[in-house]
Amino acid sequence: MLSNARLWGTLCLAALIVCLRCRAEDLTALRALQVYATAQPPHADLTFTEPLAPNSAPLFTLASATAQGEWNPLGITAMQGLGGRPRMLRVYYAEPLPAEHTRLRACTESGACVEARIDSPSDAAAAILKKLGALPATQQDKSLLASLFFGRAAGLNVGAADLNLVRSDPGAKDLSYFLRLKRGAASGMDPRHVEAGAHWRRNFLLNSDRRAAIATALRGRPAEAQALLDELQTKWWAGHTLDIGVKVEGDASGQQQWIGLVDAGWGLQSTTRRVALPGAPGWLRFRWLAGGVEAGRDQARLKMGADAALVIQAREETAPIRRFEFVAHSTARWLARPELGARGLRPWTQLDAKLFVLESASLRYGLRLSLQHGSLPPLYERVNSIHLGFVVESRDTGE
Amino acid sequence: MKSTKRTQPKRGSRKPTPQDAQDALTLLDRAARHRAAPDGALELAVALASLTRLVTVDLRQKPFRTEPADLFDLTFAGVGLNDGQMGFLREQLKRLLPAISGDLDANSQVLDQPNHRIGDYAQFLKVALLLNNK
Repeated sequence: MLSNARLWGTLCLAALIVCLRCRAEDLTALRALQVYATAQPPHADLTFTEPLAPNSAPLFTLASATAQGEWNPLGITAMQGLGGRPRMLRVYYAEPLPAEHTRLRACTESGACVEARIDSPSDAAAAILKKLGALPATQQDKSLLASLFFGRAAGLNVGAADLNLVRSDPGAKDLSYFLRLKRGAASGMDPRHVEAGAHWRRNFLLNSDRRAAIATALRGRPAEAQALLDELQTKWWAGHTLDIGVKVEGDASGQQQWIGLVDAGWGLQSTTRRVALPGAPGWLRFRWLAGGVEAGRDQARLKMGADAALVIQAREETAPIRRFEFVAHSTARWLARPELGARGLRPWTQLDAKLFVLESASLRYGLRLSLQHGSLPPLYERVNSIHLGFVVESRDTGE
Repeated sequence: MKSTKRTQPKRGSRKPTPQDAQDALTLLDRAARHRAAPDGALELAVALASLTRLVTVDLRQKPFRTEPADLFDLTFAGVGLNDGQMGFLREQLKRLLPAISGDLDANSQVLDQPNHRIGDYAQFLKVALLLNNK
């Protein structure tokens, strides 16, 4: 016969095994429940902790209740997996929820339940907009690019800074503010350029006829919609843009007066193309400034340019190199009126190779090798330099 | 919309039975013939696929299938979109969901952020469609 100590030890061990088994089942249990009072047909969306196997349906029950009342079971009429959301299931029930019911509950076979408050669509809209607007400040910025460089020139250690900040206006559609600074510490490395202003951008999609045809075919003729979508995916250009804005330019040293300019341009934006590389997904996108003008009291410039970015992102979170980017930028300005003795064509080219080794929730940290060649307004000082330095960027960078 | 909380089961709550497993498969089959109101998720996936080759959509399956499979758990930046392309995404959605084109434009400064999770954007579309159908 077992002694008391062994008996209790065996019982405790059995209880521990049962508890561990229960916790293992809970790992694939319900995580969240979404329900909208006026959804037709009536349904709720369930989110599980793990992806569901195709054509599988975990066992659970649904019930609704008033704020303090008893739970009334709901008859489930159908369930449906959701495209692109393998952890979610849509559950349809027979009748709309009673108006006085404010809670919905789903319980799994293990007995664990999740509850959700039933809100009106207007309250739900306010809640989701609040959630979308609650990005951290560094993620709200359309782009944050700050680089500090260190190099050698003429036997001296020199530094340089390159800052690009773009932020959307919180109240006006398609309006953004920007600040760009390029400075170096030695002659031949100092573009002496700063500009700040606002611009409004209007986007125009290309291939409008195919995009409209997809809209009409999407619900009733999936094969036709698929053929149209497959054809759209072969296109290199997404659309064109019209930018109109105002800005002030300076030499970032305070020696020259600020220049006020109107800046307008028309360009083409590419789609994002996949770059097939073993072990790491990559993509390529580019933008072509087909034509633009910059005009001030004494300035009249025509400009044309292009930007291209190649991005390679590591799949593993523990990869030593998290991300590699190669960014090329080129702008050519033709000065119709002389500016400080400069006239004619003034090109600027910058090539950046960036290696990111650290990432936080909102920022990336790494090294940047930069080649700068040409000249920038307002002084058009010749620059021909190669920099190596540290770079800090937001998790998404704009153009 | 939701305030999700987990609770322990109370006495007397009905637990699913083995018979329910067979019934669940019947419910899935019934859903295949269920005509549901659009919630914007399909349109969002199609709009994404039209702008980036990192996303593909198979419209012939029910429900539609995406590559990557967990598309709505990713961010727009994670599928290769930058802030300049988010405006084009919104323009495409206005064509696919004309009933809420005004809502898309009115909230563009919040929506046109590539760091948004695609699923959160889809949730906004669903709620906007519900408000429009009210």
